[in-house]
Amino acid sequence: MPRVAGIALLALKSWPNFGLLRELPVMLDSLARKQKRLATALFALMAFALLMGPGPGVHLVNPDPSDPDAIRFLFGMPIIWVWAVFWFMVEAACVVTAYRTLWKGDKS
Amino acid sequence: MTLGSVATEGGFTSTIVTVLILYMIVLLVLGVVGFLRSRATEEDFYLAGRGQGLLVTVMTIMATFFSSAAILGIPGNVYKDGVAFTLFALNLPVAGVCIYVLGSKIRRMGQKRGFVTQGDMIADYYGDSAPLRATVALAGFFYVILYIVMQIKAGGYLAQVMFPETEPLNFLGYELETFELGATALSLVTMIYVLIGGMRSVAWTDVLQGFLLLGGLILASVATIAALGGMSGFFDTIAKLPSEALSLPGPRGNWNASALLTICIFTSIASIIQPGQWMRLYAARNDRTLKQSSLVFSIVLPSCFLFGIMLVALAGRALYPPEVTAEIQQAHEAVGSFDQIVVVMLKEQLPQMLGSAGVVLLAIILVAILAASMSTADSNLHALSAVLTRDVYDRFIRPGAGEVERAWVGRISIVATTFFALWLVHAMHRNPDYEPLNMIADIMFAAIASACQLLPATIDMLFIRKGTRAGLISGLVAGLLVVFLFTPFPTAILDGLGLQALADGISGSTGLLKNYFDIGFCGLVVNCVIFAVVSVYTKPATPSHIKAFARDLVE
Repeated sequence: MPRVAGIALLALKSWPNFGLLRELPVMLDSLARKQKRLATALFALMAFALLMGPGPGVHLVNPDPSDPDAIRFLFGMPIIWVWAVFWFMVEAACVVTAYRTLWKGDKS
Repeated sequence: MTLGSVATEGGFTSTIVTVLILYMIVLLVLGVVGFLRSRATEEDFYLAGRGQGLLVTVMTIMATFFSSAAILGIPGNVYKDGVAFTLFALNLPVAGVCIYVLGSKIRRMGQKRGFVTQGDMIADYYGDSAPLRATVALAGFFYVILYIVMQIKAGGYLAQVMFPETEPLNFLGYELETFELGATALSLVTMIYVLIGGMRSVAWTDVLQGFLLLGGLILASVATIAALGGMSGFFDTIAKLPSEALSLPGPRGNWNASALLTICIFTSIASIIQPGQWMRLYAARNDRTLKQSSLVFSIVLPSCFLFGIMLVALAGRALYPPEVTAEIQQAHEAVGSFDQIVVVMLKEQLPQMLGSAGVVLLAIILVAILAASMSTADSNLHALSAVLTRDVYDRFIRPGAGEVERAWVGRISIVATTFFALWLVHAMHRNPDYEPLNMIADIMFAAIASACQLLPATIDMLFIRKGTRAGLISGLVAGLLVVFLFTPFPTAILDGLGLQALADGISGSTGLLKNYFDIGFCGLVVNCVIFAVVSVYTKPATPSHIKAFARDLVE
């Protein structure tokens, strides 16, 4: 066994990219930080979509019922419905990104 | 013209009967197959051996989530309040995220420690006690019973549409109308297949029902657009909507941004932590299954809502505008009640435009609505049976009961719950003066508000781990009491006791708050404050216990 271990060590030392192995903890740490940043960004975007979609942001497009010139339709559909569809797309994009990058199949 | 008098085409009754019989046969076959493949253990009856794969998990979660509220209640609200309520669909991706973010931790704990109900996990973390089990069971009970009532009611509505010319049936001296016959039939068939096969049957039937209802949601929209002469005809119809139906807060003034925002956040999360869904999270095979379910749920359900059923309701609002008399808004005479807008739209438009193909399409969509009701009723019946058996019978009545005895108690509680809910629906229907919680969406929000009160415990257990048992119980009781104040019942009770001034005060303040916030959110604020304050001054679990729990959550 010591002989096998010695050969393995020699192989590792002579491997041109051995330096990468030493940097593995640093790389993992950096990856974890990147994932944490991405998770925070996605959470913030989801919260923003909720604030803008059904939340106070809807007043940006909400037509005044008493104003005859207010824009009530966009692409033939009620503007509030179009607004809901747009923010649904944003929410869906957050979920797809989290699915592809953050969520692990076996562990959180 | 009322709904009952909407003309039935010659072939309609025979078509609907054929489709309905086929559907019922398939359900009962799935029930029997589920029974044959089951093992006589409690875990198998309630969680199907914790081995559900992607298709079954995602469909059973979606079918449980999408009840009669999806095809009758939510469109009913869009019909009543206009386009403002379409923003409600934005709660669904939030619920989808919770399936993975909360669900994967819940599943892992359930598998490691053998939990079956929500109460099992909460009691394990906070320390088991009778008051804790009782309050958690109570929150679950309120949710489940209201949801079952809602589904049975939908069965009655559907029977009115499917068989409008049915003669009343005399049963033991009672004359049962079409509504009552439909409600009774839906509850009995559902009860039978839940009794036979447990979770496995419920989940398998949910797959069939899930496909039917997703198809029905989209089909209803496509059929409506086709019946109106394509997209241009649809746009022309929508353009007739009055200005107050095209903006917030809607014609009745009760859908403002804060109410919609709190509903979108808290209704979604509460719907995923309700007892039936919680058990579905335990039953998933692995985290990967939940991850994929989360993605499918987040994309498919909102699409079905926004591009499907909500469009039907908007067109319905333009074609059958509600009537406003003396500041009271009533559904158009041809519609009958707000909740029936989708079925009336389809029944009026489809056969006219598509002939016999329209009749078949209509029959399939009506069965899809029935499927939506049954899939939620079965899941809730099944979950309540688990709650009553494990959290009540096993703790308070016969703590030493064996597994076979508990399984029988579970079955008896399914029968008892079905008949209790059926009795409530009949009593509500027979009382002409009964007004409270008459719309399906009203019942839905009251039910979800109860489930929402379990949110502080869930978040604390899974992420924070600072709360105590005393804090949880006091917060939960306070939250449930607040939710109860928002229902019409306290006012009725206080009125009966002659405390008119107090009743007026409560209904005035809750009415005001309801205009700005979700009911569940109001209860949740009180719940969280009390939970936090009491937790600061009471003894927490031992650090080693908390550490072991936290370790099992991630490993």
